[in-house]
Amino acid sequence: MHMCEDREQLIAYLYDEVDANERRSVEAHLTGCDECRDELRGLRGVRQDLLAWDVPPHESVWTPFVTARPQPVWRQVPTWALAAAATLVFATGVAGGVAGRLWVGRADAAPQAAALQMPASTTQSPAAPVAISVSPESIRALEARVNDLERVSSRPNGTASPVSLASHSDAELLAQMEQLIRDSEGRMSKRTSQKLLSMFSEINSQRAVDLANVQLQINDAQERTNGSILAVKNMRTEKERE
Amino acid sequence: MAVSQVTDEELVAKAQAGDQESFNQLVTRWERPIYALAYRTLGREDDARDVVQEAFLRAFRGLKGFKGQAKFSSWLYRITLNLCRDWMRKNRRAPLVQVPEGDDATDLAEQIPSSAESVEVLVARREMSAAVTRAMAELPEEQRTAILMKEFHGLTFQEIAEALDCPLSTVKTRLYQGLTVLRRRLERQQADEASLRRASWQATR
Repeated sequence: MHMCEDREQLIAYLYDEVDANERRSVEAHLTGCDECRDELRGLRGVRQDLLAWDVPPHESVWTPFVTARPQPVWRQVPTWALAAAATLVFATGVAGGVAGRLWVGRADAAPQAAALQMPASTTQSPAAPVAISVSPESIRALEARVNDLERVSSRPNGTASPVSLASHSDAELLAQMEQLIRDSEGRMSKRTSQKLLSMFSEINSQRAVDLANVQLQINDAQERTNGSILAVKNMRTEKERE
Repeated sequence: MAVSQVTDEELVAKAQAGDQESFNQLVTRWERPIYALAYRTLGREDDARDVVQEAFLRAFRGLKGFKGQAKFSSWLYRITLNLCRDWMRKNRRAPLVQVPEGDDATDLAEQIPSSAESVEVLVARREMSAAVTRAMAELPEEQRTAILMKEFHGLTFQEIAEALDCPLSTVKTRLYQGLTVLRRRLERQQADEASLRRASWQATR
């Protein structure tokens, strides 16, 4: 292509992104071509003008990441939160005990309760032994449900892992499922008791605050009464003097 | 200094492994040029700040996906330009022409650092800066971007092609077209100003 039409090459020359051969050939052309020389001069002039385009000074817009220090987590937690956590741990222990004792009485009811929640396709009376009439579909459905429950409820405890039910006998399956259900319901009741406990403690602290308020008001009233009694006494002594 | 010898690639590798300090260093290295690009593309400081912040956040989030196909800086320029483009689309407008304030001579006189530049030179520079800003704002976006990256960020044709995801020859063509349009506009403006000055000079005689 003729140099005068090949503006890409002129641009490459302008920005000095050419090899030695290209540079030589462009320069050879420029010596004999007024038009291209003028073009190059004009382009260089624009580049010069562009240098005037200032960017106003500015501060950094980036807040640097602070590298995490190897510090125990509890150091970053305020003291009151630690105290609250300790209380909660203690309360949970108590609640666990209570829930556990409650649970012992109900343990026999668990399989049937589970059976009642199974899909309607299983045709069995609630009172019948569960093992006999469980169909593969209902097992799969139940397995899915149990796995869901596991996923939702057990991460921090880390006790449960999804159990494959593929190659076991019915009795083993049932035993495993009962175990899973017991586990998950145990966890649920634990959580419920935790919630209840935190509610209780909230109510308690609210009550304490209320009591304190009442006490303050009583004190206030008493002071006022004492004040007026004193005033009356003073008045009386003054009158007596008179 | 030891710090400057660490390459971007090394810092990227460390940051990818979870070293936040390395990412901070990358930001420190590239914040100025990235801000300048955003400012010259959008024309307003506030918008430029927002875009720069978002660009680095995106880079941080996307760092794991950055496999080093292009240079880190090209990748960063690309993220920034995409954000600028989104911004312009969202706000439905071309870059703003924000001419810096304080154009009177007394103001400027105070700003002269060490009397290296005379007031006249400074005024002329201000005028030229405003003229360039206007002329650049009128360019088609792809030409403006190519010029920005070449002139103000010193990228090679190859790097611009990577950042804009277009062929090498397209980069050169856009540069040539953009520079040619700018040249005509600036020459015309200078001619207008010269005739204005001539006219006012003659009027005072």
